[in-house]
Amino acid sequence: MSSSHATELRIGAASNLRFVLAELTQSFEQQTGHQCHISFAASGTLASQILHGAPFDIFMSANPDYVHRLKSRGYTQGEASNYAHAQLALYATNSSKLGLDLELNSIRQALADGSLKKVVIANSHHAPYGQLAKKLLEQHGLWSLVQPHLLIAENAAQSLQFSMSPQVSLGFVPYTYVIQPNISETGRSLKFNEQLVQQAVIIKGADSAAQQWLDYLSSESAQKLLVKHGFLVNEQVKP
Amino acid sequence: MMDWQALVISLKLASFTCLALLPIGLVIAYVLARSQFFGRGFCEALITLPLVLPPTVLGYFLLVSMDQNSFLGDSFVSLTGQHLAFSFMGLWFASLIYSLPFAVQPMLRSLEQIQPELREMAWCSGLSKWKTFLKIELPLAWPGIVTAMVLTFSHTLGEFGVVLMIGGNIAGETRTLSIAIYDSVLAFEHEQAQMMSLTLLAIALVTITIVYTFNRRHRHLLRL
Repeated sequence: MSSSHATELRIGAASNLRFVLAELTQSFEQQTGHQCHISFAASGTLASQILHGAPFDIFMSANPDYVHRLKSRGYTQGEASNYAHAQLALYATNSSKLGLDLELNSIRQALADGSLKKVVIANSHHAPYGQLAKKLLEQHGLWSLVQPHLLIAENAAQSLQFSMSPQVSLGFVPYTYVIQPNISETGRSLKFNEQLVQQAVIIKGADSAAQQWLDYLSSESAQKLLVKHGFLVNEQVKP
Repeated sequence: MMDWQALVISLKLASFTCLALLPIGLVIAYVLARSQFFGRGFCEALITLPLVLPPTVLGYFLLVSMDQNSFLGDSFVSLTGQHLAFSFMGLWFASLIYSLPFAVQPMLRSLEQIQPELREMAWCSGLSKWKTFLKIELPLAWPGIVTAMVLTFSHTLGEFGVVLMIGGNIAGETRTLSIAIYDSVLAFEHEQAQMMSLTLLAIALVTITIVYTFNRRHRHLLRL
């Protein structure tokens, strides 16, 4: 990596990256001497902030839609990098009695016998994990049935926080969260096969060091960290 | 662990807001207290509006008005070369509006309580309007001014909704302590959230205690 000048990079990052980014930025900062300032929010929230003039150098979205939206309006520069894929998981706290299955039969049963408490999803208006959760519930014909039980979190991070409440039967949360050591012991989880393409893109007018961050994301050491945190990297993804 | 950077941003924002609202609030309060004009009630309502509006409504209007395609956002860029939205300056501007009623109301009430006879006596004794304000009205309105400043300070310090909407949670720029608390709760850093919450609690308690103690003393002084 070039060591021309040390600078500060402002990264607007999707909420699901909260744990992995702490490690990624640390190793990037050691390698390059740059400093990263991260603002976490739902991808849609960040995209809207950028459209209103938020001064980010890099946007890391949990799906390509928001990147595309910025790109089509001329807010980005260069090509976006598909550096990883993320997955959605079902999570139930230890106090929840609901079983977990990918066909969502346990939700259907609990609805029928009246034992279903709250079901948490991230906001499907601006959070990719919420959009995927909504899609899955629709596919199984449950979307309208669970409406009275839905608890809507502002972003993916809050969806896990809500899911830990005893009033909640289960939550749709980022897989990367439920494998964190202090979280995995609080409940059970099950991973869906569906994938969310994780994209990073440089915002127009960004510091030249932004390209280094994009290069770093596809480097071997970064990809190893991503795998450790439950992301799929490109070589694992079947076309 | 405490987010010192966020604490500094919060304290800076609150102090800057106080500094600006002391003269602005005093002028507005004086004009409202001492003059009768058509639309006075409307003006007072306009100033009090941020008190009753949901922060999201205020945040939305501010977000739209500070956009670089808007008049305000565009003029600010051509004046300073910097963007107003998602910057410390933008937060400061928002806080001036958000905290305006907290500055104006106490000053206005204390100025209104001064009996007109007192001012007339001062004028008869040959004091100019300006001298009367400085020597008679200002000392009498002092508790109101102190209350206004302390309320402005603590209210700005605790601002959350508006900052969330127009700040963008940027470290060293717009991440205030209340935003950092929200952020650390989402990151499951409850120890950190607790530490920062206790700090804000302590600051709020101390400042409000100062107001009450000061005002009681002042009332005693006046009675003597």
